[in-house]
Amino acid sequence: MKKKIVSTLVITALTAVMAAGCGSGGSDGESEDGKTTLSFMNHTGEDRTITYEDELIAAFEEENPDIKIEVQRMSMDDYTQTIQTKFASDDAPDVFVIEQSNLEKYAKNGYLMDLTDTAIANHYDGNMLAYDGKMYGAPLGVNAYVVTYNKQIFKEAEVEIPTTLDEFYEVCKKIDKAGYTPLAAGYQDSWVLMADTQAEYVTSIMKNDLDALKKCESRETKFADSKEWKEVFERFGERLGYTQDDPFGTDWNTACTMLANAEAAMVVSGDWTANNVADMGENVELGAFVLPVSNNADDTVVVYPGAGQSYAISANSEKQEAAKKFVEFLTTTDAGDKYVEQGIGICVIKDVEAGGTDAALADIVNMINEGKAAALPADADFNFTEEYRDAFQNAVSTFVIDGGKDVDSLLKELDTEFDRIAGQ
Amino acid sequence: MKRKSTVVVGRTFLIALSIIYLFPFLISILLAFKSKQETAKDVLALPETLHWENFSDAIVKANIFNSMKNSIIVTVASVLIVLIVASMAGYAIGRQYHKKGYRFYESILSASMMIPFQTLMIPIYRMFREIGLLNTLPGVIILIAGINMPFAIMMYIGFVRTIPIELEEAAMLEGCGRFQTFTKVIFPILKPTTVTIAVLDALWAWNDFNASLIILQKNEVKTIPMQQYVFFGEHSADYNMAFAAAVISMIPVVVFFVIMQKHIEEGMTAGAVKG
Amino acid sequence: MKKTKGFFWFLLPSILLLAFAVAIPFFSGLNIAFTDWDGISKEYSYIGLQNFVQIFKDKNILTSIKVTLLFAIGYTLLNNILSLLIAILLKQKFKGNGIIKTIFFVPMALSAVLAAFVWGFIDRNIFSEFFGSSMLGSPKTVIMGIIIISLWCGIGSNIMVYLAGLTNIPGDYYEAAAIDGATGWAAFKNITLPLLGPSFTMCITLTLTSALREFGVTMSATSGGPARSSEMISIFIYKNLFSYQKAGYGQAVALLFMIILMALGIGLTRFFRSKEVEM
Repeated sequence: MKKKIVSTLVITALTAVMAAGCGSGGSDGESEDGKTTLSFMNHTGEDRTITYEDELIAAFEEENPDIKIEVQRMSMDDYTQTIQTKFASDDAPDVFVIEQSNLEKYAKNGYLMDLTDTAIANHYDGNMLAYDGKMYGAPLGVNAYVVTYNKQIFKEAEVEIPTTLDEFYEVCKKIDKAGYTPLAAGYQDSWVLMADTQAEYVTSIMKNDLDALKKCESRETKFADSKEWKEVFERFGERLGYTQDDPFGTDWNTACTMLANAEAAMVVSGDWTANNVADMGENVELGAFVLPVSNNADDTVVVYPGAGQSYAISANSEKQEAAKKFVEFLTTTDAGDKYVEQGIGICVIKDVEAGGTDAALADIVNMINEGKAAALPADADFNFTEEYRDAFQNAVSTFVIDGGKDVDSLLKELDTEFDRIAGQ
Repeated sequence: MKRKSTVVVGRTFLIALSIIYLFPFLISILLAFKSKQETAKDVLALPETLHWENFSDAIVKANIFNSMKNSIIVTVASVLIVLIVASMAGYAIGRQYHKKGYRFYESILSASMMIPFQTLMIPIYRMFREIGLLNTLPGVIILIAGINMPFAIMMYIGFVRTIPIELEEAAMLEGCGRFQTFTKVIFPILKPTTVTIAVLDALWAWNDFNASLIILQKNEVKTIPMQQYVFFGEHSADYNMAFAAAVISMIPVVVFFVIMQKHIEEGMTAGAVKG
Repeated sequence: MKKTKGFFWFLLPSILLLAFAVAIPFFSGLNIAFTDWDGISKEYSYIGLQNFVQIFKDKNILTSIKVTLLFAIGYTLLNNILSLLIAILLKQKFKGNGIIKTIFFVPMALSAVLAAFVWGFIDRNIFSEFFGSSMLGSPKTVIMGIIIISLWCGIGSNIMVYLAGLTNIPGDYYEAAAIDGATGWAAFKNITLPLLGPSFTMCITLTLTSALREFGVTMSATSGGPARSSEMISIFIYKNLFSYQKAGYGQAVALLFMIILMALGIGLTRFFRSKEVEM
């Protein structure tokens, strides 16, 4: 009896294996019904972004019945790993998403199709992702580093949006006195600490010197000799005094929760914060402002790069015509208008009206419209290359754990680590 | 008298520990029934209403029924392959343990368990693409079976060596061949081991992330662990839906475990008689 | 002379499967360790043993080795002591036995990301009451925190193996021993421990080597932080392979690490097998 059960199981399993093999194997290229199937790889963005993208894809497929889009999404970490595995195996997806920080290594190795002379390039006023004078990526939006704040707490503590450093510390003190945590920080997620320091160094250093990070990596700039970097960390250290305890035991999700529940007043990060917090609380009123970096109010401007995450086409794709059509469709003015309308972010496509439904985002857009902004060229990269970035992050983490006072040791450690990586 | 008190102490300890183990699991179930706002307010509070929509949304978003079908196929097939291949190999090595060659093969097996999977990823991807096993369930089944097999063999070796050799000598004297001796005498005695390996392997196959990540990228072949990630964005995560999906996908695991458990108990008496 | 013919055919399927899924990919990726490949470009050149020389100059790898050893030893000890104890207690039949078994087993079915989320919450809200700050947030306690999460996620498998081992011990051995007056501790020492040999081999080797390769829970809980204080070797390798554009170097570290692990694994297996009782 038992033997019978086992053998039945074995047979079922084997049949299942074979059936599954036949059903899903080898559907690359043109399928039987003459449709072109485009593989499109992306990482899971925010909920709103996915909905937005899916709507566009459906509309595209309706308009082009001969093209089918096969979407593959995975988490950010897995995405980088998977796409590199695919590149290395000559199996890149037809259309995929790239970031500014990966542009150079992908373009240099010839994995990206040159989009300079395509209709896609006409969708932009020069703020596309370019390397060596050629366009490789078609961006939708840009990210700006801002302080997202809870308006109710600001009202209760009777404080206004600060525009200078002294005003900012004053705001922190008053909020503290009113019984709230001034700043929430969720450094347990590793990218959060980076975004937090970027809010400092992008506004203070990169605005004036686009190559500042590259100079650190090439060791042209030594951290210990740089007054600007010293000031960045002094400000950052001072700010830590107003942050909740145990920032490394707090994850991003919890930091956002603190803002949503009106326990903490501010989170220093990017324009994505507001969307995330808004989903967590009922009737949270949020606003955004730029983190002051000096006592000159004119320095407090929104600094944003010309291009964020962008669509790219594989140089080795056999379906480039269809792929071009698809990317073109994703980056029309209409698509951009929708992007803004649905409150996803700031859009860089030509002729897209700024505005949108999201209050915090509107604050940023207003600043841009009022001219309190500095748009950096499209090839500006706010990130150190990966290995330097990790070294930077670890050094700053140690600094935070040690209390945020010993700036000199931090600068020394940064120089030692950067020297080591640069091979000096 | 003294024995009784040890039993009481032991049992109290066991119950206390199981309550500690249960606690995070209860939070997980709680989260599956709450809205994002309720979670933000207080993770531990009971939800005002049960948010069943977490489950229905998760089912749609993660394509759960299809991925569960894939997970079941992958798990059942890879476990069967492992049990058949490993019990045979374990028997041979266990019985020939005095021979250098067999011990060397055991060393290779234990060495293969030490390879960091990251270093295999690119070669496996290339190889599987060339022979057309990419994005197919058989591809991932073979890979998972291959990765889990060494452990199973090692485990069989140990237990084969505790089986008295006289048993099979008797069978062979009666005219059974080597293979018949194995299926009729050895394999039944190994049942508790087989059940244990089946449970562990099933769990590993069910949870496998690494192998699936490189082999399965198309939606129609994705397994449950692959789909969990639709709930995690770059700067945000939908934990409630993720837990709802996790609770659904745990049901087959718990059912399977409860069924298998009976067989472990059964094996106990069987082993006692034969030993 | 025993009949020994025919054993090789029993091995053949396993050899084929191992070759296909592990050995061939492994050897075809081996050469990368001797190149300057960045993980993405189509070309690379052979640079001899340079990557291996580099390993000895890298102070971060020392941190990783220290962290990994600390975790592996702590986890292996605690896991095996606890799981053997639980298995022994569970072997006696009583009401609710099955439910308790299920409780220890079920966490294994939760993914590392979600386990890390739940424990992150417990850490922030409950552990921090006892220790003044959360365990995962401080370099001093982060490894202990990861050990606790891992014990929750992974103790089920060892309990299973020990239970199977205990079940395999024939009951009449204890009866015979009882006649000789050996019960309780004496029976445990003279019957249970020696006959559990195969289980010890499995559990200790498996826990130790999987702990030395720990990746998932740590990556989800801390991604190696704060300040590298939980950057296990596997995370170090992963970062070099896929993010630092140093695939050649990453592969070299992996290779060296693997050789050490293999020696350890083979040594352990040999040691425990020699203690096993053969019938």
